[in-house]
Amino acid sequence: MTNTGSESSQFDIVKHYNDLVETDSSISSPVAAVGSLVKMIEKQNATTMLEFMMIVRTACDKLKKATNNSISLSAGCDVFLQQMSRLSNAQSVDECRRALIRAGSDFVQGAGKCRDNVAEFGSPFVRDDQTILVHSYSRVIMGLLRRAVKQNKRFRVYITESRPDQSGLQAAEELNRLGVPCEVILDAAVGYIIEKVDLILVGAEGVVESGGLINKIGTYQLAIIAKAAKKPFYALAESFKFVRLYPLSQYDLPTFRSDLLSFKDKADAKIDWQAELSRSNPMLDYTPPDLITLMFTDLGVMTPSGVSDELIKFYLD
Amino acid sequence: MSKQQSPGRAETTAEIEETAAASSSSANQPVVDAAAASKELAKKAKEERRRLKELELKAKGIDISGKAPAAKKKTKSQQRAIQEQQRAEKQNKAGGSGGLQHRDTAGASGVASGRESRSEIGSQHSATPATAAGASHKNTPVNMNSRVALEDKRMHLYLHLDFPPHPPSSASALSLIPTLSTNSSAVAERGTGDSGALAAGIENASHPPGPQVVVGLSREEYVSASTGEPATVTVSHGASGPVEARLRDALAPFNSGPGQRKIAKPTGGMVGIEIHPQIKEVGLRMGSMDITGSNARAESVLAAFVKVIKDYVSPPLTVINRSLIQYVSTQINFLVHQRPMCVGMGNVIRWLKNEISKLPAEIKDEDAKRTLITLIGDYVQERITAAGKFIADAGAQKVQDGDVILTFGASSTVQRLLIAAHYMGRRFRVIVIDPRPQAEGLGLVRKLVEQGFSDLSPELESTDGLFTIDQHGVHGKGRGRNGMNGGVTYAPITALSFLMREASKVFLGAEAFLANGAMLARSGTAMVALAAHSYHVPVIVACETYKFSERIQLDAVVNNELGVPDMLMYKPGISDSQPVGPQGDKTLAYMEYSAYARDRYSARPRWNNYSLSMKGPVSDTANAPLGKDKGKDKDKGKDKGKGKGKDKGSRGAAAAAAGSDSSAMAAETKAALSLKNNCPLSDWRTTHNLRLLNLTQDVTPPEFVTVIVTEVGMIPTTSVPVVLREYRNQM
Repeated sequence: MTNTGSESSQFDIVKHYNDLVETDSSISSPVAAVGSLVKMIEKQNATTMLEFMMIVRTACDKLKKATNNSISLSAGCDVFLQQMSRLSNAQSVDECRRALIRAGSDFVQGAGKCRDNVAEFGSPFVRDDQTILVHSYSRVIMGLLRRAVKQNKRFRVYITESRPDQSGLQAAEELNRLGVPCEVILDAAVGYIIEKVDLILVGAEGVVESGGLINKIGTYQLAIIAKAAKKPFYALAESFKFVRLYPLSQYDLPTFRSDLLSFKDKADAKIDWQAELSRSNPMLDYTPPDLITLMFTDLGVMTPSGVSDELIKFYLD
Repeated sequence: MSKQQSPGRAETTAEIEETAAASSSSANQPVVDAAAASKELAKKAKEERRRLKELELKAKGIDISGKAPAAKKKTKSQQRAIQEQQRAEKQNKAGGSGGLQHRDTAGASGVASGRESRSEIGSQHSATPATAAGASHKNTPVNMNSRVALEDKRMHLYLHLDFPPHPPSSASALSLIPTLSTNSSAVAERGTGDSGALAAGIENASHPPGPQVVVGLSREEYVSASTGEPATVTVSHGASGPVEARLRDALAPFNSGPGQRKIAKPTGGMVGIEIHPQIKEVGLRMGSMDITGSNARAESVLAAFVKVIKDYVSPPLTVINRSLIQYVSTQINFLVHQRPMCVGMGNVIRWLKNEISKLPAEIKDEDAKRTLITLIGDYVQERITAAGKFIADAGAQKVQDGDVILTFGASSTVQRLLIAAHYMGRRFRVIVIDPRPQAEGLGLVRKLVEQGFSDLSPELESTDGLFTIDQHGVHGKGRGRNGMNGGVTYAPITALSFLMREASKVFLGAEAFLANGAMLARSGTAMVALAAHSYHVPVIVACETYKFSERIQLDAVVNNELGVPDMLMYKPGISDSQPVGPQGDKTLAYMEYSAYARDRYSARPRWNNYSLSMKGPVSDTANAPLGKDKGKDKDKGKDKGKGKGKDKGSRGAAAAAAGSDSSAMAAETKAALSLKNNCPLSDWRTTHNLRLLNLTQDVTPPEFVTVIVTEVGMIPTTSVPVVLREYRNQM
C-alpha cells in the first residue's frame, strides 16, 4: 500500500495536467483532467479495488484543489469517477484499470470530435447577413464560426472585450484572420448594441443540472439584456462540461469566496483600485436556465432542461 | 384500555345501550356463527341496494307506491334519530357549560340514528374522549355490527355492514367543483379527530376483526336526508352540532382535527373479507388526522401491510398471488374509506400490488410472504427512509451561514433538512409561515426550538457568509434586518409578503410532483412560491421520488381533498376554559386567535352584527338588528339547530350596545361568549347560500420551483418526467 502510494505520488498529476494545457492550447480542461487521470492510473499499481478507487479519488481532489478553475475540471473528474464506479464490480483491479484506461483514452480522443459536433449542430443557426454578439473567447464558438465561414455564410460579429483578461481581443484577432467583419465592444456597451444583434452566442465553463451555465463573468448580465431585448441567447457546450452542480444563486458556486467584493476595511490604506479590481472581482457567474434559449451540444441542440435530463440519465443508472 | 375511563361516564353507557338497541331494530338478532353472519350480510346488502334505488327513484319524482313502506320506514327511523339528536342538544343546553356527560349523550344519539340507506349510513358520530373511554371491548371475536352494539354496550362505534352498493356516479363527480358537489352518498365523514376517538378506534382495531368496516357518520347526510333537501350537499364536515363543535375545539392544533373522507368506489372489496386490525388502526388514525403527512402515511401503511402479509393465510385451493391481491384490495378500500389516499401512499400501494402480482404462480405461501416482506422493507429503506436522509443532507448543503430560511407549514422532510443544517453548524434564521386552520407550523417551531435554533446569539459572525457586516454597517439580503443569525420566527401567512423580503431561501415540502413538473402541496404553498418567485428568492422543495406522479393536474380544483369546513371557524375563548391539546397545551395560535377574536367580536358590535347576520340584508342602523334578528329567530330558530337563535339574539344584543337594557345585554354578551355561540360562523350550515370551503391542497406551477431536492440529486421541475421514466424502466 505504502509502496503504491509512494509510486503514485511520484507521478505529479497536477504538473501533468498543467503541461497538457500549456502544450495544447485547444485542449479543454475536463479533457486534460481525464487525460492526466488516465496517465496516473497507468503508472500506479494498486492491488485492491478499494485502494485503487481511493487513489483515483485523491488524485481528483488534488487536481480540483490545485487549479483555480475547478468547475469544468471537476466535470471531467466526475465523468471519470462515474465511469469507475460503473466498472467497480469488475473481476479484478487490473481488469478495471484496463477498462478505465480504454474508456479514458476514448474520451480524450473523442473530445476533439465533440467540438466539431457542436459546430455541426449549431452552424445552421447562423445565417447570411446576420449580426452575432459573442461574449469573451471560447474555442467552441470559434469552431462554430469557422464552420459557418466554410459554409460561405456572411455575417458580422460583435465581441465583448470581456474584462479583466480582455479575452475578447483574442477572439477578434482570430475572426479577423478568418475574414469575418468584427468589432470589439465594451462590456458596458452590450445594452447599446443589443438592438442591432440577431443572436447571441456564449460558451460555457460548465453546464449545471438546472440547465443553467457557468461562464466568464458578464454572461449573466448579457443574458438578462438579451431576454429583455427578446434576442435568442444560445449557449455552446460539449457534453463533458455537464457538471453535477445546482447553483441557486451567484453565491452558490464552488468558486465562491467570501472575500470577493466584500467591503473589506480599506479606510487607512492607499489603494491601487486598478489592482483591487481584478483581485476582488469574481471571474465566473451563473446564468439561470430561464434566460437561455437553446444549448448547442455534441448530443444535439437541446433546451436547458434537456441538459438535466441527460445528466440524470447519465448518473442515475 | 380504559385508562381514560372516569366515573362520570358510567351513566351514559346505559343510555347508549338503550339507544343502540333501539337503533339496531333492523339487525338486532344476535348472530351466532360466521356463516349465518355472511348470509345475513349478503341479504342486507341486497336489501339496502334495493332501498337505495327506490330512494333515487323517489327523488326523481317517480312513483313507486308499491315500495312505499320501505321508504316510510326509513323516514321513521330518521325522525327518531333527529329526535335523539335534539334531545341530546336540549340536554346539553340545559347543562350550560356542558360537561362530559352531555357530550356522551350526543354520542349516544349518534349511535341511535342507526344505519339506513347509504346516503345516511350513519348518523353523526361524535367520538368524544368520554365515549372513547367508555368504549371497552370484550376480547371475543365480533362478527356483526349489531352484535358489537349489543354485546358491548359501551362501544360507541357502530359498524356498518358493507360498502355502498352503488358508487357515486361519475357524472355527479364531474360538476364544476367535483368534490364539493358530489352527492351526499359520495361524501361522508367521521366526526372524530380527538384522541378519544382515536383511542376508541385503536381499541376497536385491536380485536379480531369482524367483517365490517367502521364507517363514520355525516351529519350532513343526516340533515339533508331528514329535511328533504336535495342530496347535493356541498361539503361534509366533522363537527355536526354545537356539541361537536365544542369538542372540536378541544382538539390540539397539532392533532389537527377530524378526518373527512370521500367514499371512493370500493373496487374489489369483498363482503366477508376481514379488515386486519393493523389496517384498522392505521386507517382510523389517518382518518382522525393522527397520522398525517405523506411520509408518515406511506410508512405506516407499509408497516401495516407487513403485518397483514405475515398473518395472511391463503384460503384452500387458491394461489397466493391472486387471493392476496383481493385481500389487500379490501384492506386498501378500508383505508381509502377513512381518508383519501395521498399521491405517495397511492404510489406505494400500486407498487405493492404490482409486486404481489409479479409473484410466480406456483410460489409457496411462506416464500411469497417472505419475499414480499423483504421487498417492502427494501422499498421503505430505499425510497423513504434513506431517501429522506439523503435529501436532508443534500438540502442542508444549500443552507449557508447567514441565510434566512422561510418555510411553510410543517413538512417532515424540511424539518429533517433544517435540523441537519443546524447540526452541520450552519447559522441561519428560520421563518415559519403557518396557514390556517391546521397550524401545523407550530409543531415545527416547537421542534426547532427544542433543537436549539433559538439559542443562537443574534450577532454571530458569519464564517463564510455572503455578506459580512463590516464597519460600514452594510449587510445584504439573507441577513435579517436586525442582523440576526439565528432564531425562529413564527408568522401567519398574512405576513408572507413582508417576511419574504427578508428571506434568502424558501424550503418547502410537497405532497407530490406531477408529470408536468407542477407541485401538489398543502394549500397556500402556491402562494408562498409565487411570492418567492416575485421577490427572486429561490424555492427549494424537498421531495422523495416515490411521490412523483404520472398524473397531470392543471389546477387545484380538478382534484382536491376537502378539509372539514368547521375548521375555518374561529373559536374565541376556548383556550380559557378548556385544555386545548391532549397535554393541555394552550398554544400560541389558539390563544392569539381567541384573544384577537374576542376583542373583535365583543368590542365592535356593528361589524359583528354584519358578519353574523349575513343571510339577510343587514339593517342600516346599529340599533335595529336586535329586534329584527330576534324576529327571524323566532321563525326559524326551532328547526334550524339550537345554537343559532340564541346566538343571533345575543349578537343582536351586543350590536345594540347603545341600547338601554344593559344588564340584559351583559347577560347576552356573556352568552355570546359562551363556548357554543361565540363563533360568528357557527350557523353557517343553516344559513342560506353561505358556504365554507376548506381545500387542503393546491397546485404550484413548475416555474415557481427552483429546484427539487430528491434522493437522485437536485433536479429542476422539468426533469420530473425523466425520473418517472427512469424508474418505470427499472421496474
